[in-house]
Amino acid sequence: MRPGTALCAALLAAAPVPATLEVLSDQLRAQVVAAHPEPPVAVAVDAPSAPLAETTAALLATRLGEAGLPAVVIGSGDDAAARARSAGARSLVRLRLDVGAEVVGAGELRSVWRNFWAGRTQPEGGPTRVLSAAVPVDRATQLLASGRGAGTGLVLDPAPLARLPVRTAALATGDLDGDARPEVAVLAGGEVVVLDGAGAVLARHSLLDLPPSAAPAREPFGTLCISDGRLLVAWARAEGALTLRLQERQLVRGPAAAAPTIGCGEWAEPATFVPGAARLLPARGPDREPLWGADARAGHRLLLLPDGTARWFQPGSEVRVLRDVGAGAALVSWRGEMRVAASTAAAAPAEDRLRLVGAGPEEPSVAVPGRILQVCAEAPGAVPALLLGVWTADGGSELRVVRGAP
Amino acid sequence: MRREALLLVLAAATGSEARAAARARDGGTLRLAVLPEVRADRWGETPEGAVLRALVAAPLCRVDPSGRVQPVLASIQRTADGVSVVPRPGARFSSGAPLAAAELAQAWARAVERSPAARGALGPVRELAATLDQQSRGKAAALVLPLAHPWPDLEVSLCHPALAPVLGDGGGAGIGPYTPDGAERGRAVPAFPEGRPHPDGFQISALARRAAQRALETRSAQVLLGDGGDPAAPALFATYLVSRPAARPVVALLEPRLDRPALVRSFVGTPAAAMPGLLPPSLGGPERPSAAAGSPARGSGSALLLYTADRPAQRAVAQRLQILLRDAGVSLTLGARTPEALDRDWRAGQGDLALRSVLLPPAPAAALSVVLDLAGDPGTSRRELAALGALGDERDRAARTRERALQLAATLPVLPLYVEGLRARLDPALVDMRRDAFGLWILDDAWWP
Repeated sequence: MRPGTALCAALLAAAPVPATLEVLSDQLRAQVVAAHPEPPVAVAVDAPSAPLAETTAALLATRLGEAGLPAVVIGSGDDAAARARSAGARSLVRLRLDVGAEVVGAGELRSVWRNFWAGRTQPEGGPTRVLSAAVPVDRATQLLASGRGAGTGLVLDPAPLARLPVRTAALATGDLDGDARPEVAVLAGGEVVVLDGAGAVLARHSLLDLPPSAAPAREPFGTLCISDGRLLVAWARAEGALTLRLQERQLVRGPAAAAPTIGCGEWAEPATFVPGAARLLPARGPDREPLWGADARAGHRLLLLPDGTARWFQPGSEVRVLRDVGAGAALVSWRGEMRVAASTAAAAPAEDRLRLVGAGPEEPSVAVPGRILQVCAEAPGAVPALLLGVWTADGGSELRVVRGAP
Repeated sequence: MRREALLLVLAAATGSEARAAARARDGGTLRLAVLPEVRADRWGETPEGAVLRALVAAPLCRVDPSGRVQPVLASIQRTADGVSVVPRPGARFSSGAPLAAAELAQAWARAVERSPAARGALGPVRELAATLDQQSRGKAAALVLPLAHPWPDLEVSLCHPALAPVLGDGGGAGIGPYTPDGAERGRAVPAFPEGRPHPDGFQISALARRAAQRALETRSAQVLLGDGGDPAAPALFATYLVSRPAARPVVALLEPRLDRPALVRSFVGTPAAAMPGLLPPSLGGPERPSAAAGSPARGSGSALLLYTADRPAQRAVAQRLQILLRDAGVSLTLGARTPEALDRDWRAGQGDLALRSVLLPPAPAAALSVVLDLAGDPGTSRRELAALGALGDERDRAARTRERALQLAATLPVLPLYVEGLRARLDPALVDMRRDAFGLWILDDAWWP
C-alpha cells in the first residue's frame, strides 16, 4: 500500500465512516473478489466531490486488502489505466459515484497488465466485469458529497527531495525498475540521474557523448518521459533522442527515440526543439509556435506561451486562456479532476508560487522558494502530490514535493 | 468565432504579461565597463581579466561552488596512469577548426611558458614538455596526460582559466560563447557547446574608475570589472614575494617590518585580505601569523624587485616595500615588466626579488602545486606533491596540505603577502549570474527581462 493510502486507512480507522459507504464498499468488494482479479488492484473513484471519492476509494482498497487482495488508490481520470500500471497494479477498479436518494456506485474491473509480446495491441480490450451497487444515502455521505470539510490547499514539504549542483532541464516520474514504485528521473548538467522515492541516486548516465545540436540551447532544457519501463530522453543540446532502461542500477541505452514529445506515453505528441533556444515547437496542430513548454494528457492539451499565458484545450470545451503562467506548468489529475499546476511568469523570482487551476473558482496555491521550472504530476509517495524542479539562486536546483492538504 | 474570442482574451491579457520572463529572453547587447588595468590583462591572469577573457576563450571545465567539475569544452576521464582530456563534440575555434589533442597540447605548451598557474596545474604530469610536444604533432582526438604520481585534484586544476585553449600567441582566438568582432565587441556563437549566450553580443568600454562607476549607475553598463566586489566571495588571487637564494637576507630584513593588514588597507583595497600563510584563508590558510617576527634589524646593499607594471596594487606594494627596505638600509630598485616579460625574465635569472600574483585553484593541494612552482625547485615540488597525491581522501589531503604549507613557509623562497577577490559590480537587473569556485562571475548565462 502506498503511504497516502495508508494515511487514509489510518484516518478511516480513527474516525467513523458513513455507514452508507461501509455497506457500498462491502458490496463492491464482494463483486471484485468474486471476479478473481490479478493483484495488486488499483482503485480509482470519481465522485461529486474529492473527499467522497477519496474516502470511498480508500475504504474499498482497505476492504480488498482485508480480503487478501492488495490494493492501491490512484486518482481517477482517463489515464487511470496508465497510472495504475506505473503504480505497479495488474488490475483496475474504476467507479463513478452518484449521490441522490441513493448512493449509486457503478464501474468496471479490468486488467491493466501489458503483455510484453503484445506489441501495439491495446491490452484494455474491455471490462472483465461490470460493478454496480446502490445503498440509501445517509447525512454523512451527503456531507462528504458536498465537498465541505476537506482541505483544498497545498502544502510544500519542508525539506527538498534532492538538491543538485546544476539546474534541472526536465523531470519525470514512473516505474523504471519494475518494483511497482515510481522512480524520479532528472535531466541536469548533461546527464540523466535516476533517484528513488527517497531522493537517493540509483543511477547516472552522461549525455555528453551525443552528437551536439547545431544550435544548442543555453538554458537547461529537454523532455523526459517514463513509459512502459523505458525512459525517453531528449536534450536541447544534442541531436536526436534516446531510450534508457534501468538495469542492475545502471542506465542502459536502447534504441533511438522519436522525441522530444509533448506529454508522455499514450498521450505523447511529437515536437521539436527550437534551435538555440529553450523552446518547444509542436510538430502538428494549428498552434505551431515556439512554446516555453507543453503537456498533453487524457485528451487535454496545455500550451505555455512565452508571453506568460497558457492555452488549456479541454475535451468538448472552449479553449481556456490562463494568465501569469510560467514555464513550470503541467496537467495533473488531482483528486479526480484534471487541473493545471502552474508556476508564475515572473522573471527570476526569489520565491515562486504554484497554483492549481481547475474548473471551479478555487485556486489553491503555495509559495515555493526559488523558480519553478518543471512540474511533474506524480511525485513518489503520498497521493496526491506534485514534484517540482526548482532553480535556486546559487545556480543549482532542488526537487521539491507539494502535497494536497489533508 | 472561437478563434476570435481567444484572440480577444489574449489581447486583454497581454498588458500584464509584457514582462513575463519565466524563461530567459534572448537578444540585446551585454555592456561591460572595464578599468584600463583589466583591459591590459590580455591573458586573463587577474580575476577580472579572466572573467572578461572567458567571453571569447572559455575554460575546459568549470568548478562549481560545491567543488563539482562541469565540462565546458572537454570532459576529463581517468585512465590507468593518468587522465584523458576529451574535447566535447562541437567545441570549435572561431576559425571553424575543432578542438583536438594537437591544438590543446600546443596551447598548453605556450601557456606553461608564460604562466606559473599553468605550470602548477600541469606539474604532476610526467615529462610534461615531451608529452605536450609529442601530442601537439599527432591527430588524436583526446589528449592523454600520464601522471608522475597520483594526483586526485588534477580535474580542478585543468579548469583553471590559464589553461583555456587558444590558437596562436594573441590570446584572443579561443573557443567562447562569443567570437571577437573587433577589439571591443563580440558576437554570440550559436554552436557553442553550452549553447549561445542570451545576448546577441557584448560591447566593452575601457573607462577610468569614476566614469565606469557612473556608467553602471546610469545603466549604460551592466557589468563593471575592476571596481567593487564581495568580501564574502572566495578570494584566490594571491600575491607572493619570491626571492633568489642570495636575496634571502633582504627578505629577512623585510619580514619584521611587514604589516600585511596595513598593506592591504592602504595599498591594495577591498576585496582583499592579508595572507600570512602560503595558502589563503579561503583555502584554510592561517589568518594571522603563527609567531611574531623578530625585531627589525638593519642591513645594507641593494636588490632589484620585478613587478607587473599594469597592476596598480602591485606597483603600490612594490613602492611600499621599497620604503620599508630603505628604512632597513637596503636600496631596492623597482623593475616594471609586463606579466609575460616578468615570468620570462625571472625564470631567466633576472632580478633578486619579484612580486608574483597567481589565481590559485580552489583546492588546497592544487593551490600548493602552484606555490611550489613559484618557488622554482622542481625536486621539492615532486616530493611534496607525490606525498599529497597519495592521500585519496579529499579531506585528509586538504588537511595534510595545510600542515605542509605551514611547515614549508619557513623554507620556501616565497613570502606570502595578500590575496584578492574579484573586483566587479553588476546591474541588479541581470539574471542568472553565478560564481564558480574560483570566485569568478560566469557571464555566459546572463540575461535581463
